Amino acid sequence: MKTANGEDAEYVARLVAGDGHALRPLYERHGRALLRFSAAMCRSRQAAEDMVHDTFVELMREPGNFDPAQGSVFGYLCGVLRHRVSHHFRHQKRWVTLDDDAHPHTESSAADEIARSELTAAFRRAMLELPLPHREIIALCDLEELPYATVASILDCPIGTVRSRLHRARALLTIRLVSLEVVELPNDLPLPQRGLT
Amino acid sequence: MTANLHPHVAALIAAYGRDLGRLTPSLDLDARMERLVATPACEMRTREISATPRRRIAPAFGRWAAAACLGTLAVAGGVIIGVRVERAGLPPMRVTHEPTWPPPDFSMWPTDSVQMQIPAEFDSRGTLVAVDGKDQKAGTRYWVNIVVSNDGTVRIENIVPVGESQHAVDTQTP
Repeated sequence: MKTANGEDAEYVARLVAGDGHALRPLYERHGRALLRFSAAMCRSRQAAEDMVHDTFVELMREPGNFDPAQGSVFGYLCGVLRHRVSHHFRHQKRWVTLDDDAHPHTESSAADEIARSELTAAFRRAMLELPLPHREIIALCDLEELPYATVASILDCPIGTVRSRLHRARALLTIRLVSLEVVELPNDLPLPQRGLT
Repeated sequence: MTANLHPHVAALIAAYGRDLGRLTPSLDLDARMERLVATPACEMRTREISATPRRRIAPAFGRWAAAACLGTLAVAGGVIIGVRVERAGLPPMRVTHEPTWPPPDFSMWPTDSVQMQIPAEFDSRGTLVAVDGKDQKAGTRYWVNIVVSNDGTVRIENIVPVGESQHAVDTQTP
């Protein structure tokens, strides 16, 4: 029985052979996860979808760049996506505000929904104010909950670097949330427990 | 993974993760992906189908080139217009020599002068010294006729005893 990674590698091999239809199952399998990662990184939904689209364009144009020995197809796509996002942030100066539909509605009551949306909006703002390396590490480790090893392969760095960068990113995020008065930390809490070391 | 995080922060991350989890690709993205799937592979390598167009240097360079061309044309036009105006105008004025100026007796050194008479007497040592004309005569009094030119030179014209030739002053200029 083939694993998901094995099937993905086969689809990529079909792409290398010129079969463009092999892109569809890859998009159906990884498109949503890539969109979540992209939405956590970008300020607008349109930009996030553009990044996902460009990621698959890149895969379709140069499928031979994927090396199964280096990791999974999803990890490769995440790597391409983060490069696209980084490129986008370097060169794109104008941004549009976050679309309303980037925050899907929940089924909770209206009052809870308003409070939750405000908190989520503040959290998202704090996230987007983080430097790109810290934002992507939180998106991959805390939001996507990927294993450290996978994240290390996506970011092309050692696992120890992932851990330290994640620790630093969480501390920065906590500081930002405190400054936005989204989170209140007890003053007598030791710094390490506040994630501020 | 968020075990060592502050509970409130961890809850926010979880809530935001759930929000993101509900995110689904838009119909527009699905349609674009369908078009991408339908694109022949050989065409992929030649067509630019990226959603985020690459930065192009040409427009910025074109603007600078256009500005430089306009500047050059403006300068060239100014030169041409100036040349034509110069050629179409009056003949250039000739430098004429004014025959009446400078006069023949012109001199950079003015020759006006002042003449004066200074009363003087010989003192006990035989030196002729200037005295006040209102003072009583102590001996023979002389007029020392001098001419002071306004170029700074002083010339003694003559010395004559008072009463012999009071106005024998030569007014020649130096």
